[in-house]
Amino acid sequence: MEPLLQVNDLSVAFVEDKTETVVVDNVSFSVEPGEVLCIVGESGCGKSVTALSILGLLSPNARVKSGSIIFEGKDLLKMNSKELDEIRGNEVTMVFQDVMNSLNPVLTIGNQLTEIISAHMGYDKRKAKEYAIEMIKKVGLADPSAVMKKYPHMLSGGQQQRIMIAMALACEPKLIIADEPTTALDVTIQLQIMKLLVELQKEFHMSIILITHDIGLVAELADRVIIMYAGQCIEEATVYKLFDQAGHPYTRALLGSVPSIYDDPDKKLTSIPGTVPENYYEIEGCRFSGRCPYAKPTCSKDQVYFELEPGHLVRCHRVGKGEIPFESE
Amino acid sequence: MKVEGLKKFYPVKGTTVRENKPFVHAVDGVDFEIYEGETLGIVGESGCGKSTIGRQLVGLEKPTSGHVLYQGKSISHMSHSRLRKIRTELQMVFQDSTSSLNPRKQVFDILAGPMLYHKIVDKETLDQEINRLLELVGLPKSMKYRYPHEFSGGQRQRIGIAKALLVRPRLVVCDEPVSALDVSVQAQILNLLKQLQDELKLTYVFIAHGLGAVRYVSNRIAIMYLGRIVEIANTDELFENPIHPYTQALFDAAPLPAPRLRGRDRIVLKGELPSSVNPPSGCRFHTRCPYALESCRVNDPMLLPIRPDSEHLAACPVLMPKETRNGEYNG
Repeated sequence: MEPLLQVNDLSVAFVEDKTETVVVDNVSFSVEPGEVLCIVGESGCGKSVTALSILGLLSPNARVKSGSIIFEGKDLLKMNSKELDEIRGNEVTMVFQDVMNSLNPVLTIGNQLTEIISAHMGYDKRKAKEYAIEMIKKVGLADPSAVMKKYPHMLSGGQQQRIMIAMALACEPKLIIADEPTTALDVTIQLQIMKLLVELQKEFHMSIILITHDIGLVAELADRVIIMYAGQCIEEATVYKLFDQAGHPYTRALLGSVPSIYDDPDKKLTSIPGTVPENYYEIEGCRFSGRCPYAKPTCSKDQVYFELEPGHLVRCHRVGKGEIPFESE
Repeated sequence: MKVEGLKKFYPVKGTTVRENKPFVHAVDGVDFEIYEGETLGIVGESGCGKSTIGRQLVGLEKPTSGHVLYQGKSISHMSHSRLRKIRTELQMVFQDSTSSLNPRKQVFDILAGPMLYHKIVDKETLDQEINRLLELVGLPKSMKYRYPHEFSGGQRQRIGIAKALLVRPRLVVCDEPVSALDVSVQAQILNLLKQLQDELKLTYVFIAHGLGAVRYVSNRIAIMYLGRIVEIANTDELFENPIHPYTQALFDAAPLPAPRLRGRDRIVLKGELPSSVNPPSGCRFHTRCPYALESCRVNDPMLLPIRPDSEHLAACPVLMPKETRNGEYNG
């Protein structure tokens, strides 16, 4: 099957005072129709920048240096903003973490929803309103016509996030990019929202790119996972493969550092010493080597992103040579 | 190194209603004890009153009614000068390390100020003491002349911990100390807090909404919902045998890092957290509770031992073990 979205060798740099900082470095991945792809990484690893560049929403001081983003056979990076507008909001939509700043505080929910619907679907006012009410029902809010008349501040965080999802779904997109959609919410509400997203994803047969740092959410939702570190993809695998047999030392440490309610209480959490290096784009070779327990002098050479098994990619030559054994299950 | 350590922490009791124009019942009738040397975790969703309790414990706010007793004395109605003395024993680590450190002072001055004020060290040993503190929290001493913005989030939280420890406290209230940090750094800080507890014989109150982290550090856990404690028990007991439906739902809602357990049965709560300005009548949880009975709308459940003499208390008459239910609630 043709992938829905194919990102090839994407590099993005921020330019400040004529110096370039490469924050996304040769990232490649694809999204299949109907799948949930999670992009995981800590803050500053480039996961959000990658997502924003798909929709052409990068800040003015960011520059795409190379690569292509093919969506249904067309390169999004070569499009002008008018062509992009045909796709943004129609075929690809985005759900942001910060709902408070994504909804307009001086317009009612009804106003904002019907505006989107009539702009993208060409419905007249009455039909757009009916459709908006239907969408609000779909995301599980009670009394939709009352919600239509409310302003964003009158809704709770979870309700606002439901409205954001209604907006993203209104035009039945093929791909939703969700950037930390539930980070600001309480766990019981998070579960509600994630269940809703998955149900609607199945109903509409959409693909989702979920950007998160929450390993638990990844385990609950993902089909495939990409781990990013310091601007690079360092591992890609199906969710089962990743949790059973993570390759890269960073992935292993990341999975080991999550306290779980089912752990042995005496278990000591793996902690990764140090922090993400600040000038990581200047590091030659493996960018994790400074914090890696398995680092060897050979790690200072450029690391190849290679296929360990079909569908399982790792950027660590020592794993490839079998020098870092997998923990037996 | 440590000066004292024999005395016990006496019961911390409180029935408190915070004062605001329309009353926000942030903490509404809460009783519990903190034992010396333990870590008590307080878990709940935003707005349940857990941070309010934290601030009352260290005397940053006065309760509307009720008391916080420290070694038998109520710190809630203490004079300023006496409170000042006791505050050195009760310290707090905040979630937001950026706003709790003065951006215009070097780390050295941030740490030196309180130490000189409380006369913990004199000027000669000051430098030595600061080096010791930084080493304790795992920062190189060469960093003491830097400003807060020059540190990463994890390092700033280490300074926040050093700042809480410099007056040699016995009780440290940690209010969401890791929720603003990246996962790999969270593990560093949690391990550091555990290690410091062993070394310095500290008592912790650990406030968080992440169950995994709370379980990792706590001996006992209190679950809060809308200003009340709904369940409190030893950590292992609580996770093996949660009684209150809210506790069960909270455990179920926590995402597990195990993809094969996706399809498991779990309680998905309906609806939103009701407002604490006008909390529901009877059991506060009845509006979202899957087991709610008619009587739950009317009767306000008490926090009772699930078995006679049990340290495991829960506030749900419906799901209590049968023998307890018969004894306590019939008639």
